[in-house]
Amino acid sequence: MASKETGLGEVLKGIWRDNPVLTLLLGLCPTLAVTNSAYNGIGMGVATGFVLIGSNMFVSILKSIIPKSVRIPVYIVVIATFVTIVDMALKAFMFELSQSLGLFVPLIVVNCVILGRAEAFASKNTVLRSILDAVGMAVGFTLALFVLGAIREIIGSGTLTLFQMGETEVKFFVLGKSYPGILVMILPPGAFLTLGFMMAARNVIQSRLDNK
Amino acid sequence: MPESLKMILVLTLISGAAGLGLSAMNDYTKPLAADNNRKFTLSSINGVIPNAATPDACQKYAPAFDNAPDKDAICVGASTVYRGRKGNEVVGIAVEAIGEEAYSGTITVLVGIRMNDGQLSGLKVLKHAETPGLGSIMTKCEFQQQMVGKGPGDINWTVVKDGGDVNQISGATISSRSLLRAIHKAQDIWKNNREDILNKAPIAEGEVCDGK
Repeated sequence: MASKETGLGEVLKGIWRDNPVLTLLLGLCPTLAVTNSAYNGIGMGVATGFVLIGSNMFVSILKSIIPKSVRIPVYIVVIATFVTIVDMALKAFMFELSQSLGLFVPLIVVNCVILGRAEAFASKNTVLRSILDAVGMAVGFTLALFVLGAIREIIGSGTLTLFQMGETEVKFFVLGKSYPGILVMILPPGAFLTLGFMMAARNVIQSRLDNK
Repeated sequence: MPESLKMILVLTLISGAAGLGLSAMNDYTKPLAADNNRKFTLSSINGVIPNAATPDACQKYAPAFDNAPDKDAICVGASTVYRGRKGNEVVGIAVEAIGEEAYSGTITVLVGIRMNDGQLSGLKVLKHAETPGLGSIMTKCEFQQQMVGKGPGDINWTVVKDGGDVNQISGATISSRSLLRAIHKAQDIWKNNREDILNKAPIAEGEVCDGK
C-alpha cells in the first residue's frame, strides 16, 4: 500500500486530518503528563519530532534488508537510539528543559506515534515520503501539545511560558500577576478535560467543513 | 542464506551500528552534561550560603564564601556536606539532606547552615515528586521565609500541628514534616559533626555519599 498523497498532502495530513493527538489519539502518556506549561509542550513535541523524523527515515532506508519477522525489534533499536541521542543532547545543551521533562524523554521510546508511523508508513513508502510524513506528524504533535500546554498554563497558573533557559525566559502574565491559579488544570485531570474540549472543537470544525 | 541467519545478521549489525553511534555521542556530550550538573550544584550552594546577617528567602544575595564548595564536600552518613570558606575559615555549610516519608517518596533538600551560630541561611528543594500546587509550595520562597534566617533556638522546628512554630502548608502537612526532617538532619550535622566539618579531607570529585 503506497501512499497516493502529494508531497504537501503528506505533510498536511499529520497536522489536521490524521493529527496524532487529536484524531489518532496516539502517544497520550507524554501528551497528558508534560503539558502543564506551553514550553514543556513545545520541548516534548520537538524532542519527539526529532526521533520521529530520524526513525522514519532510517526504517524507510532499511526496509528492504529487514527480515519481516524481526522488523519490530529493529524498529525499537532504531527508535531507542534516537531517543538516547535526544536525551544526551538535552542534558548537554538544554539542562533546564531536560530537568522539567525528566523521565518522559526516555519514555519517548514507547510513544506509539513513532512505532506506529514506522510500521504503518515508513516500512511501505519511499524515504522522501516517509520523511514528509514524519515532518507532518511531528508538527501536528508539537502543535497539539503546545495548544494543550498553553491552555492549561493560562487557566491553571495565569502565565504563558514560551522559552526558558537559565535566567532568560519569555513568560507572559496573561491573567495578571495576582491571578490565584486553578490547580486542577495543572494536575492530570486538567489535561484530560482540555484534550476533550480540543478534540470536540476539532470535530466540530471538521464536520462544518465536510458539510460544505 | 537461510532466513534465520539473515535475521541474526541484520539485527546484530543494526544494534552494533547503533551502539557505535551512541558511544560517540556519549563521549561528546558527557563532559558538557557533567559541567551543567556542576554549575547547577554550585548555583544552588550560592543561594543557600548568602552573605547577609538575616537573609530573607525571597531575596538574592552574593555568596558568603570565596572557594568552590562543590569541590570541597565531605560525607556525613548519607548526606553530602559542602563547605563554603572565606579565606580558609568555614563560614557556612550546605547539606544535601534527604527528607523521608514525604507524600510521594522522598525529597532532597539543600539546607544552608551558617557556621558560627547555626542559623538556617537558605533552603533549596533539589528533587521532589510532591503534588503540584500543594506539596510543591515548599519550593516557594514565601513558604521558606518563616524558617530562613532563624537560628536553631529561635523557633520550635516542628509544624504547628505537632506543637511547633512552623506553619505547615495547608493540605500538605506530610510534605512539610518531611522538609523539616531534612532540616533537622542538617542542624544535627552542624551540632554534632563540627570536627569533621572543620578538619575532614574533601571527598574525590564524582564520589557519592551513600551512608556506608
